[in-house]
Amino acid sequence: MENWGDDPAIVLYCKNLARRFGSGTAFEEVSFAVRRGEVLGIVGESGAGKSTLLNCLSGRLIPSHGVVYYQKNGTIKNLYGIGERERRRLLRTEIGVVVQNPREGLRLNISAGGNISEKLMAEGIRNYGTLRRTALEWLERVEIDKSRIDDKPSTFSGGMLQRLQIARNLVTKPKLLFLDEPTAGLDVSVQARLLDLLRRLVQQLRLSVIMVSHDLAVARVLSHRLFVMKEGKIVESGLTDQILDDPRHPYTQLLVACRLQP
Amino acid sequence: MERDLASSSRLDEACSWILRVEGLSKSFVLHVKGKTKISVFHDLNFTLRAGESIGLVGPSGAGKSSLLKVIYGNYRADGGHIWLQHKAELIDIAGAPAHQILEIRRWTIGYVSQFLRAIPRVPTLDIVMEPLLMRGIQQEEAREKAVAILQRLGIPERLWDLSPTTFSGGEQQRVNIARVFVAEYPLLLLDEPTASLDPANRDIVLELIAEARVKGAAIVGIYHDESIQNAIITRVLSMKAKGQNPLCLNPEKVVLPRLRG
Repeated sequence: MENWGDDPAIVLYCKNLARRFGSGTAFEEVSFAVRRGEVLGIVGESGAGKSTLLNCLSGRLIPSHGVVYYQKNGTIKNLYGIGERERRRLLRTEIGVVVQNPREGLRLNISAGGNISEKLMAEGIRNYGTLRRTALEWLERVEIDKSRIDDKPSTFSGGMLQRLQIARNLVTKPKLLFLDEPTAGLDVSVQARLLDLLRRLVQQLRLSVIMVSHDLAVARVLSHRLFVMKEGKIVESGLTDQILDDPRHPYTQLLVACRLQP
Repeated sequence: MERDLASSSRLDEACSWILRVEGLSKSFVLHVKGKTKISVFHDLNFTLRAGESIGLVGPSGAGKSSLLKVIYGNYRADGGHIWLQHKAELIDIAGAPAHQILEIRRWTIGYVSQFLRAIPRVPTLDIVMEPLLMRGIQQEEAREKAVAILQRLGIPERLWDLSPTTFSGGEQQRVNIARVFVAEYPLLLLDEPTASLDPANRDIVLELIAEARVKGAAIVGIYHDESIQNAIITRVLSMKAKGQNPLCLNPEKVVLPRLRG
């Protein structure tokens, strides 16, 4: 992977990433690349270090060791090597983060339309007509009734909040989307609808996605590749079908054997 | 990729073959059952040229389906090489990185599995269009081609908008076949492609396979019916029960099939 910069399809590259706390280790020895249009699923039990890894990859937690690089239009940026201001800009325009609890990822005191427009306004777009039109387009895309544009998110259901969070993050057309347990707490039919939406958006926008899920079934539906994490290490990685059909590590075999078949 | 002497000569010959399996071995280690090791096949060797069609034969459990899955990169080999001519490059599937296997599946290898594994709620038409869309073909053209093959395989229009998860076995298998034959692949892996089909549909599938061969596709297939097999193959690869080395028979030792098309 030394000449990874020559591969324009690579969006994110991390090497020897680790995060330690005092005497403990959240995760270590993480190295991989994500390409344009690729969905990477990180699975494993609670406490395996998945969310911490996600936070380091998405610029919100400084790792103890290792590097994270982003590539855009041939320019490579070291995520923690650039200044705070540039990193925030990157987070606003190139990267989207959909957190597990949508109430933490949205502004509950402003309208749905306002939530969607916020990143655009931060980028200097001030024309009310443009902002409103864009917000309406996105509400339609994520299948929220357009009449709710002026409603506060406090009146939305769990599924709607997640979809609003997705719209809020994708409005600036980022190349990379991070999802942390996107379907947690949603019932099965709502979950299904959300996954279908994500799949469509990935295809239409050629999005790269890094998704954390403790639920193998969820990861399976969206992911091209899976990383299996246990106690802070990636114990196995491969194409989704390889991991599900030919699991090699004992923990992966356990995970695969335990999943409920429809 | 470094080329040693052995692989240079391989490369020279490569123009004439599309797939070369060398010393291929596969086993499973079941950790949940106290590290039981199951050897599926060991030290397989064969070469496949464009236009050739191999039929895998052997008793149930001999590893026929597994061999197809290893070639497709679904199962990971324990040892050996799977040399493939992919876009004028020689790639060893056994050691290829994930993104390269995805590329190979997109452009070079078409795999008809024994059972359709569909993601829930994705409509049949979308499933069949997908391989073309992945190749960058425009929506309209992809749709036309998908419709054409679905019509040819007799899947009625009222089903196109539905997910095949509720279809009958035969219908699912025809969607599975449509999904592969909607595009052209230099190498086809077919696992019991006509198993759940009635005679009329079986003949249509045989036609599709024959047409693919005429266009130069190479095929490795498992056919549950000898008469079907004899209509398609040029060579037999016999996989014996676990532990025994396979035997690759010459055409003279096999009843030569009538070539169609």
